[in-house]
Amino acid sequence: MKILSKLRASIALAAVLILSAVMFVDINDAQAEYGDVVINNYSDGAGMRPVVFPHWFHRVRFRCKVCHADLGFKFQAGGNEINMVKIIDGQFCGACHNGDIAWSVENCNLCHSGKPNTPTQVHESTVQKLAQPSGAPKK
Amino acid sequence: MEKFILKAGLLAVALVAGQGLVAQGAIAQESAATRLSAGKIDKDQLLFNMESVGKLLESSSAARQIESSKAPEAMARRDRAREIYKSARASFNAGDLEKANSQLAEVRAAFFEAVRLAAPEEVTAKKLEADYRARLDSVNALLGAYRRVASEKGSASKTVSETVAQIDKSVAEAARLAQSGKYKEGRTELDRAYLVAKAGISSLRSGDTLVRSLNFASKEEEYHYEIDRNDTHQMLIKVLVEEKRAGNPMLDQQVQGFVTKAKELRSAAESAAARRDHAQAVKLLEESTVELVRAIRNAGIYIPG
Amino acid sequence: MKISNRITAIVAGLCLALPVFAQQSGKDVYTKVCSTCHATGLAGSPRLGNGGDWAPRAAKGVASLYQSALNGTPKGMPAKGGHMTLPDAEVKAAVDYMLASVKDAVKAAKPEVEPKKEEPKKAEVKKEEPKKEEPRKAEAKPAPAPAPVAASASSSVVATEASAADINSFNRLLKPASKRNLPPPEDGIHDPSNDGTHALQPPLTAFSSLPKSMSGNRVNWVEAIGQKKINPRYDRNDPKAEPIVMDMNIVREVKGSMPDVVYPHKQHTEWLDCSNCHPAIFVPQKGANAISMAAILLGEKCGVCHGKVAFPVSECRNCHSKKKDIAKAPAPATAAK
Repeated sequence: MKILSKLRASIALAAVLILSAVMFVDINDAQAEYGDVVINNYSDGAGMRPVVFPHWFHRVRFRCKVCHADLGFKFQAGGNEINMVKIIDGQFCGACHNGDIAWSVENCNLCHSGKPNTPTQVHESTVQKLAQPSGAPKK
Repeated sequence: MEKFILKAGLLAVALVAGQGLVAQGAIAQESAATRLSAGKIDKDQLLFNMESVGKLLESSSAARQIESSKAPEAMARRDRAREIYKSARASFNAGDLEKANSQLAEVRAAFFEAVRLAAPEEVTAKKLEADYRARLDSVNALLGAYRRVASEKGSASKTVSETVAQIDKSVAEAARLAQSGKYKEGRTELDRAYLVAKAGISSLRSGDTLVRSLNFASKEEEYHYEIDRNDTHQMLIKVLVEEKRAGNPMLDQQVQGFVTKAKELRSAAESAAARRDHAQAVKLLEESTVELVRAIRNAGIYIPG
Repeated sequence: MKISNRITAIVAGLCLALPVFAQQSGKDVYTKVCSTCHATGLAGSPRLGNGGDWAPRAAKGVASLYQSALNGTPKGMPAKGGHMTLPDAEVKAAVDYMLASVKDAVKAAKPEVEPKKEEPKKAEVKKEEPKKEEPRKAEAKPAPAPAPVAASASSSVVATEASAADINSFNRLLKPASKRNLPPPEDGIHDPSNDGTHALQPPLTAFSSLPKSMSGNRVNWVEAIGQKKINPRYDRNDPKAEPIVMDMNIVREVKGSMPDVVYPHKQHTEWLDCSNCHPAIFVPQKGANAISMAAILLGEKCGVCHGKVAFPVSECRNCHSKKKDIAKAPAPATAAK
């Protein structure tokens, strides 16, 4: 009998430990590729899935300069105020996704592929992990 | 003899064909888009797409742009798109998914044409101006750096002044264009100035090594540096050690011990600084950071102190 | 007869199968690369079509001109015009093109048998020192920077580096293989109920052939370009455009035993343009930028890219690559494990 209760006790203890570990461990189930940028400035409001931009795919094909110097993309997730009018007119994404350099922008679901209500972010960035900085940095 | 000519001809044709292939990238490129269109049509997906295109037609930023522009051609195109949309809906309800899908594609194409006719310059002009200003900033920064480096190195003044003059000329021309609202042309002109500045700096600086040595003008400066260092290590604990702490309560306790000690030392340092005793503050901060380094090493991650 | 037919067929097949690399003409190279300076005589460069500029240079002989173009000159000519990926033959073709523009005005001296050794040597010496400082972009294990210090310090550091690399396998930033580089429908950010998500290419398909690294995408992008596994475009429309690379290192000293930081323009200008960083992120002036690790971790200065798209700062030695003198470096204490 003692053995059984000891067993039960240890199982209970293990369960408590696991539970507490699970509670404390930040189960970050969002594990998209490093560098993916979720852009959700207007998508949720328009009833579309947020856009997921994969840096890695583009990095293989273009150097940083092409988008960030020549096409005018700022280094800021959500900071470029991109909307469909600009894209259709050939600015930002539309400069390449026009059917010539890359597939045309009529393929809505290839870009608008994020889970709804995902906030704008650069996925897996260090800043994301440091959600609560301990002290303001000196500039 | 004839056989030889034949073979030579074959070779020539092959060469030309090979070049042709290179020129066109002839092999049809596989891409996400081709995979998507090759897939089977799923009813739920199609319904969702229907809804999305409906929103595109009626409530998107592009739709609003068409309405506000009041351009008759654009409105006509959009109406056409609406018609096709109606029949796409009908096809869908009738169960003909293939037809509905292809009609939906037509709707998109027609709508995008409408947008292009709806004077999007109103929306896109701001970016052209922003791009121009950003490029102007860069040109000015590089020009300033070029002047400074050239005088530091005592470079031949004639070439320097020629380069500077050329850049100034381009910048002035660009400013003139920008003033009349021609930001795109202004940017193109600035790009020329930019290339010249870039080439100029490259020719001066290529192969150099600059050293920014660590010299503190005062203990107070060193104090601020140490505060940053301390902050950094606290953040490093969060970034590097957090998950391990969560999984290992004993480790968590050990790390917490170090962290608490570090925090005590830091508040002592801050109060020393408040008393203007920066030398003491720096010393205490160094000790505090050592505790944080110990915490990180304790978790099994080696970093130099 | 039959054999020669077969050979012809094979050669023809090869020609069709392999792209025939069209060599750029001297004029093409001049227009794309050299004209920036040589059209107007920037920095004292000899102008196209100007006999007076070229006469003294042509007198030294074509071979010496080739050397100047290929290796650079102390007067301001960057090696290969800054485009190190240009083949030598194309650079020479550009020189020929420029000489041809003045051939009536100037008669180039007979090509010398031995190229002049002085000019290339000067350029090389100037470049040798900064190259020592250049951090090696290591792939798996970060290699210690060229250490002029005694071997004991470096070997003990190497030993702990090896254990640190193993220990780091528990590091939060290094997830187990089953959780890394997931295909879009499983990666938690993409919506798996979307048909588009399933059409997207899974990252591992592209990464399998690229050099590996310990963090970020787990791809060593700098090596990937260096080994020519990828050749991303420098210009949106022109697949052949060459990057304008500048080789300049900036050493930033840091406190304590942490090695000094060496910032290499070379690896960065392979990807980026001056305007990407200057002046919005970094003022191009010595002493004008206060950079701290705290700021970097919070996504400013270097952290604008590193920690978001470029490798995160868990790879300390990629940047902190210049060892201090042994007198300053205390013996590293091993982790209490």
